[in-house]
Amino acid sequence: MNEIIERIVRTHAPESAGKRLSFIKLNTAGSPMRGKPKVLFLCFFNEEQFPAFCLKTVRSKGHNAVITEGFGVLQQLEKIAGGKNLFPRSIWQGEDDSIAWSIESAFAGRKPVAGDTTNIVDAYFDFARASLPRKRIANGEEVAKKLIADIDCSSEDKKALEALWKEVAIPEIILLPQHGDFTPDNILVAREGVHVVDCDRFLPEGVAGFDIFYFLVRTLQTKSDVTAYLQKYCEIVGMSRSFSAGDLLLWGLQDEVVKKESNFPFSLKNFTRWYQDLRSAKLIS
Amino acid sequence: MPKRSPVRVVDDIPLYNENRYWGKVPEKEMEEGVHTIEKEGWEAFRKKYEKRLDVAFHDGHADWRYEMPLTSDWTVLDTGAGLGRNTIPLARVVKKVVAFDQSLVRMRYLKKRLEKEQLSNVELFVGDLFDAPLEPHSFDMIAMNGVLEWVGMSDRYENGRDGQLAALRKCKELLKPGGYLYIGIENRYSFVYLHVADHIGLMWTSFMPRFLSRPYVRWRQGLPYKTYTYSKRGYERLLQEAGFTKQEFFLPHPGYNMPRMIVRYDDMRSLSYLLRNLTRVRNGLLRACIGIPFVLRIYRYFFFSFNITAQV
Repeated sequence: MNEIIERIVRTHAPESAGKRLSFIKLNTAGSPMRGKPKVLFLCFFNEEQFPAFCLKTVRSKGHNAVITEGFGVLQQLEKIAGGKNLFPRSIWQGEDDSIAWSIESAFAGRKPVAGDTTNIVDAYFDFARASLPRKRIANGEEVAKKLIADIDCSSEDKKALEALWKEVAIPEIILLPQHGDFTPDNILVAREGVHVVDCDRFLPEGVAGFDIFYFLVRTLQTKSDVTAYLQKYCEIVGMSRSFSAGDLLLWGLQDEVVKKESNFPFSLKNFTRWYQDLRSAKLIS
Repeated sequence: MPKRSPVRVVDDIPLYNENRYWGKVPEKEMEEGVHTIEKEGWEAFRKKYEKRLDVAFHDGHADWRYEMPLTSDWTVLDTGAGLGRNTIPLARVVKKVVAFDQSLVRMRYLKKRLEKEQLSNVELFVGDLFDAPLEPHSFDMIAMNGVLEWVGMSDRYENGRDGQLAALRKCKELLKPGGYLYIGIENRYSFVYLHVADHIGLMWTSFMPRFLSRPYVRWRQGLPYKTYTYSKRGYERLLQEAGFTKQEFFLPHPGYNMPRMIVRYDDMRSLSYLLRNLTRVRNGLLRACIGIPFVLRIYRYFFFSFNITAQV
């Protein structure tokens, strides 16, 4: 796109040597509106069909932490997932003219279709198995209290949430790394396997089930498939009970989008509606 | 930066020409908006005017800056700065921005925005490009985002193109050696103009040959037609004539005012990837067509707008 971007790639990604580079600048639809300062550049080699790298930067140095934190997340995910190519590979992170930049691998692949669910879920189960050494059993009450305290909402809303938690409380929960935004938009399917991108909402200690439950429900799988997949997930992570309204509430509370929702009470209404729908479908107890 | 004395000074903003308001809302409403900021604060303003005014509270508008090697030691001129949607993001990353507009109230609004953002490296004035008393060869970059088409409206020139050419020559004079001119502007032959009015407010005028559009606009509106836009070839000729020998064209999606995605005009593979993977083209036939290089080449001729960078 310009010589600064090209210089960064040439200097820090040796694979680019001798290749012609081209770029697409992009940011997601609503991101600047939501105050997200990140800008992405997909970097292509020669006339290749898919990008080789993804460069990330921010529009001003005041937001450098977004890049350093995002890069740190990729490094954590690499440690968890080992050599598997599920998440992008962190290549370089540094500053140019005081602005933070990072380079990570990009994936070739297409958007998932309905027939890809089994492969996607299997890849996710591999990740869940690899995450098991980081598994922690926590007191439900303590986790809920902390999540409610962290939420940016009025004291009345907090009271309402506390009252709601009392109704649906779970004594014990499993905390495990969660991608945090495991939606079809962030999944690419390639011949060599499934890839998951956009890891910025990674939760090193998330409430177990968050990723897989939302993925299955959002992709509108059949009830029997969802039940079977959830049962398998519970077996993998060693959960002896089925998912309940308490899990649903904790998932909502830990979700960054919900936490920062300006009209927070809306999410309470959502919770009630979801809870009723999912309960009547017997997907949660 | 301006070296001659202003006609007058209002709220510490020098006026080198008399105020000439332009904008999507009436001047009175804009005045009320600034008054709201002064009396009730930014939150009240945002609530009251968010949908009415072209309020730029995010920095994505100026992402075209990634088309050039902008660094923190640059001095930049933002022509037709308006509400500052380019001025603010540029001021965050360069040494100095000089921003001007013909409208006083818009500059008063921008001054308040700069105070809110605690940006002190911006000089504001009210004036126009032809009269602005700016030092020659003093800018690393000049931004004309949504400006060149309106420059043609100047009373100084009978023909819109002559005004645009004069403005580009003025920019050339103001740029440092090796400096960049940035132009964000519509494509004359954009598909959009098949169902949306041209800048002058009439349908299909941009598609018409000029010898027809000029009398047509005069007949319909009683005004000369001067807000010319061009095809890529047209812009190339205009810039060449003004002395800008190096030019690079980019395709911004969805448009130059909010360039969420940008690809080089000549980079067909990236354009194909963008349309197939990053936009929501759901129609199967359309998706298949995107895969045909010839169709893609033709498609560029009807793209909505261009980002152009030019150097002398």
